[in-house]
Amino acid sequence: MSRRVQENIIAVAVLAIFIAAIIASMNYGPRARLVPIPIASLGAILTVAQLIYQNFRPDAELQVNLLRFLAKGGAPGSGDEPAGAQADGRNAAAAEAAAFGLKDLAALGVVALLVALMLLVGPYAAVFAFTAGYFVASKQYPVIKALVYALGFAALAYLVFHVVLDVQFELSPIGFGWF
Amino acid sequence: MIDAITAGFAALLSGHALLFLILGCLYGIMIGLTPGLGGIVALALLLPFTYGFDIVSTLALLLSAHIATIWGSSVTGILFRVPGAAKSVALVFDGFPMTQRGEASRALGASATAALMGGVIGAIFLAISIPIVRPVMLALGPAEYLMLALWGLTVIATFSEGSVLKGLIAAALGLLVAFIGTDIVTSTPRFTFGSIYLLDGISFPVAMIGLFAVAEMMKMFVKGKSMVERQIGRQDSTVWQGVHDAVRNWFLVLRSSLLGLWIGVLPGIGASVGGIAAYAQAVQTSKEPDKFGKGAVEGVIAPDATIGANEGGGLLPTLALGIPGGESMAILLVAFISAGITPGPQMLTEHLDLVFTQVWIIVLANVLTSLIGLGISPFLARLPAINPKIIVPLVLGVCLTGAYASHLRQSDVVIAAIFGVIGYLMDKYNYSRANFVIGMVLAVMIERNLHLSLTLYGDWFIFTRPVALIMLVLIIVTTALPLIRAQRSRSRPVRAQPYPSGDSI
Repeated sequence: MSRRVQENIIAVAVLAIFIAAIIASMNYGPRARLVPIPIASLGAILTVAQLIYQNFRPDAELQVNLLRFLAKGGAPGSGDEPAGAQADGRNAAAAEAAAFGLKDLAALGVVALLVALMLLVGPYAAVFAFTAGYFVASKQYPVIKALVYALGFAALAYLVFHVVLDVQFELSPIGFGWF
Repeated sequence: MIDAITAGFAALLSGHALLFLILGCLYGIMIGLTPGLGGIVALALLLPFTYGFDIVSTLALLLSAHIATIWGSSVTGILFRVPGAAKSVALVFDGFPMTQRGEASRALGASATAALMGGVIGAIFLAISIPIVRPVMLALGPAEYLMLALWGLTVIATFSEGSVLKGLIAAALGLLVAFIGTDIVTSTPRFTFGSIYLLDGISFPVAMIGLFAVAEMMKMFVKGKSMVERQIGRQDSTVWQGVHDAVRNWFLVLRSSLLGLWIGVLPGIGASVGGIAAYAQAVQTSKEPDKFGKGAVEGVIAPDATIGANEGGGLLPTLALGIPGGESMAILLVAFISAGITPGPQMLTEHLDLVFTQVWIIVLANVLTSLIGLGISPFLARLPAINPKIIVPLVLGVCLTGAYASHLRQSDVVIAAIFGVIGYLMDKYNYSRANFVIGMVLAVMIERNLHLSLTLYGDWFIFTRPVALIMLVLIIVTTALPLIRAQRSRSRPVRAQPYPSGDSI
């Protein structure tokens, strides 16, 4: 999937959010919808404009270089910035252009796993299990070392939250009430 | 005024404040030195730990951590060529060449001293500005505050990095998210979809943890390898050479500090522009501009002085207008709101001592950070790269535990994760997270002042309040001007911008 298609998917999703907000706001009283409807409408118009621009014009045309704007200097990338900055910019741009792929999904999975663990077994046990599992799965440490380090970290989390901050978590509530 | 200054200092000496200030500095330096963890992550992670403490202790922790993180992010720019924050980008241009030349200690010494001098100048400016700004703020009504909030929002969105349209879209999304929950005026539940949890709205700290800390860890996970690779070379310099350089270039420090103040006062602009603007003026005013980019110590001193002074300038609109100067200031606003204090004119009347407490915190945190920085710089010069395989699970664990701890609601863990994914996608597709957060923070100010203006001045209040009308015209001009300039620059022959890949946009 090309970067342009991904950008379009994101823009359409954002547009859907704005439209949904407009529709939902119709049910509210005149005062309650006074601000949300104009904001959502403006957001929808901007998103449509973004969709048009990103499909028909190069992205660079929408970039505003404030330093240049204030100093009335040269065009972007015209050599005003030091070589290091330009190289950094290119590297950053290359990184930004990376397509959404398996690694991104894996990142989502990692976060989802930790959330699931927290909800199922409570925060301290989740921190221990997640940290140990991550160390082992990423081959950072062998199993025993990973368990020891994870235990130390979970103990530290317990010390900070439970002992120092006196935070009393509910423990292991499998099947808690969502929202 | 004198009473407020002394009361502000006395408040800092009571309770946990001084301890929190020291902890904040240590924590901020530690986080700032970790490539990939910026100042905003540091503040987002700290928020859950501030509940239950008084506002002075909370501010001592957050502000000192923020100031220390900024210096830490300069260090990573100098040592690793990875600035921890956008404002530290300029440190890379000459700081890293100095490191390559074996002068890392000298660069760090100059950086810490320049940041200290700039920080103190910024704090003094903040202190002397308050009596000048206060009568102006008190003369403004709800209509003018509405326009100020809208102006802040559009300026931030327009001048933030990347696409103007995407910046504005992100700000609009942030506003909408802030409308989730019970309407402050009519008590109507909005965008709650029948959920009791959402009646209270989205918790700011939980959203911050997700948007910045969780999203950054996802980025680090995807990158999959160390943020930086660095060979530790020989060291041919001392920290004191850097201190001497900064003192010797006092006029450059003063000029850069004043520039930082000016940029800091403009909402939203300081964060990404201050350092580069300071670097540019240092090059322009130097007798030897050719040495810049090759390891000139002036190229380190100027940006650091600007960044240090920028905080004092950035606090002024945050405290006086309630308009955050950037994402870090937005988090400070969240801390204020959580403590039941609304920044704005009341801040300069009812809580003036608190304003001066912050001035003192800036001064003390700068002094402490610089002292610690000078002490540890020789060791920092030998700092190796830090492995994300260790950072990711530890920070993720703290993030989500912190989100849970903020209100002891398990649902907050889910919300933090959802905002983490949103933040990750926004970052990946260049929708500014800072604008999103600032939209969230300004939403209440916009809605409240609009309702007040309509009630007090009628439906056509904009035409009956000349100051508000002028501000509206300014908003339109400042939003449209960059787009018009971009349009004009298109008509001029410009060298083609190379895209990273053929189909990228």
